[in-house]
Amino acid sequence: MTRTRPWSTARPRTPARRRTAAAATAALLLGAVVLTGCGIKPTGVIESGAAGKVVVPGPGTKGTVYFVTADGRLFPVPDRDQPSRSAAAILVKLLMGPDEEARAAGLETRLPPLDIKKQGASAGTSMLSDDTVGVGLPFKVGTLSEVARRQLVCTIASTEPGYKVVLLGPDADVGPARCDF
Amino acid sequence: MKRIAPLGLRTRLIAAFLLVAAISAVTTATLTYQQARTAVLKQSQDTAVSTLRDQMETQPLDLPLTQAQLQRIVTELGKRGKPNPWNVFGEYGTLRASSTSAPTSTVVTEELRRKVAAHPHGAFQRVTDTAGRPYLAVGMPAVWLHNETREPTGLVVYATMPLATEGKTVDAMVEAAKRGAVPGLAIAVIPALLAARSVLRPVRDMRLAAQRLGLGRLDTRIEVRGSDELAGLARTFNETAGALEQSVAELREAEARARRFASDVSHELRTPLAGMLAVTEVLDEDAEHFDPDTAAALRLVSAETGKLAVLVEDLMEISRFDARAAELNLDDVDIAEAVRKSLERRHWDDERVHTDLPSQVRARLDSRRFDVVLANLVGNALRHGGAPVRVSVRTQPRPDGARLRIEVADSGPGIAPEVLPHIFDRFFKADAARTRSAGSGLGLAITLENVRLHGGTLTAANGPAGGALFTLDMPLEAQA
Repeated sequence: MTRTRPWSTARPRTPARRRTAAAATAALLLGAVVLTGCGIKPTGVIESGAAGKVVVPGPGTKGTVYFVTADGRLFPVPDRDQPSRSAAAILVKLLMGPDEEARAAGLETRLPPLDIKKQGASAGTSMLSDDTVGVGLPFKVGTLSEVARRQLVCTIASTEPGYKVVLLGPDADVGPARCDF
Repeated sequence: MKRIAPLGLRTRLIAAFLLVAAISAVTTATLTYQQARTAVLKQSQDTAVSTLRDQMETQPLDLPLTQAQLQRIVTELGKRGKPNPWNVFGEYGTLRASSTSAPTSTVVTEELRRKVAAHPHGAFQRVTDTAGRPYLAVGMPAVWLHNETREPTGLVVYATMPLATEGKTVDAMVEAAKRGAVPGLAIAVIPALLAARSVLRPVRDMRLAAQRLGLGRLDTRIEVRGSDELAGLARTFNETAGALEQSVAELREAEARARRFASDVSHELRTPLAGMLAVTEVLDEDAEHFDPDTAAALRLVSAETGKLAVLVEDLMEISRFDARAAELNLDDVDIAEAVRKSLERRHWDDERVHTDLPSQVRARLDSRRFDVVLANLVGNALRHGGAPVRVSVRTQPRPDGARLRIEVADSGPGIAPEVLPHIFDRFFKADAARTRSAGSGLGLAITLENVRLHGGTLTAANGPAGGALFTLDMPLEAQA
């Protein structure tokens, strides 16, 4: 019986090469599809929905003092016993610094320490315009850190929502600024 | 690149079918698997995130949190993991609390912490622990509504949940895909075999038909099935074979006509020639009574008439061969005796012919034809070669019967190489200029036909000493 010659030897090599290349591509594709994997692969951080909205009990949310953690995040501490309706009262609470409970949770303040008996009188607030509150402070405000300024602005603004706050120090005036998160 | 060994058409077809089936099966299985896996994981993740959010929203926060309050919250949240039991870790300022013994989780990454702190939204991350088991870590910051805006309270709760159940589900899907794909591939072999068969059967038929055609059976045809390309090829093959058969039949007929014509012509010439021969013999004898010129003319006519008679006899002989009408009349003869008689009859028993004959060798052959063969070979050697001519007769035992081997060698210049292939052709003239020779031009052709009739072969070559060497090889016992 005569054996026929295989066609591939009779034809130029290019189609054979092209065929090989096509087969390789198909195999690669198949491999890639398969390799994308079995099992459960780790991912990056994926955002999913809103944060949990909790209820903070207390007579009111007006009058909230903001302290900070070591990494500079503001933590709200509502004045639960006697809501400080006035900006001046809440300012005094802020300047007095975190109480025992707050300190236990690692909260601190970036404002300079203050002797309330001597300097408390020089601290106060006044309306500068319809939507601007001025805060008089007994220490230099020009050198205050950004976090310290936010502490002041957010604490004052918690009594007058939406108001702008200007910090008035013996050295300079800073602001007006709003509290935003 | 090393060439891959050529594979059969069947193998290639089946391989192609399997490849296509494998690609489609694997692709389908993979895509289905990926979709299913994504759905399973998405379901678990969404359930975990929303469950954690919902449960956190039921917990009132008394800010600032104390360690006791934080612990109470995480213990409460840790009880109701969904869809799988989870561990809950709470972080508030420097306070840490968890629903397990460890205060912080090894599964919660810094990346997740940063993301949740920077942007108060729910977030999750799939991670693997040190043993490679998959875990889901969910981070959920707590916000409160303060002066109409959502402000972070500083509390972030993390839940870590092993994805073992989901892992099992996913593995089960892989297993199912494998179980589906392998029988699928096995089933794909069946259509592959059918397709290969439908292609290979016509191809095999055509190969067999082409072989039969090559063996001379020109009436070979292929059955045409269907109307595809292979059927078209079969039709073309049939048409070609038909045309070939017709051409060959026409050629054969023309050849037969030509042979019949030569045979008829020789027959018609024989009777008048016989009369002419008788007359010229008489005239030849009386030649001396005529004047010399007339006598020379008479002898020429007589000689030429004799040659014509030989030519006609030879033509009739070869016509009988062509018409396959030649028959063997077998006798038991002594070879040495037959050769000697043949040479004596032509007066070649002198110094011009040397013989080397075995004694007591009997052969079965047609003695008349053997005489013609020997006379032609020796006569040819004497005429074109030269004396002395050596005739040697030998026998050779062979498995399929003993052979008679006769060699006739002359002492002439030999045969020119370009002439050798045509030496047995009819009316072939070795020297184109010598148009008239003593022989009819059919001697060697008739010799060859006679040898063939005996089932033997006759070859011409040049001997080692330079002269022409004719070798006759035929069975010692010829079959009629």
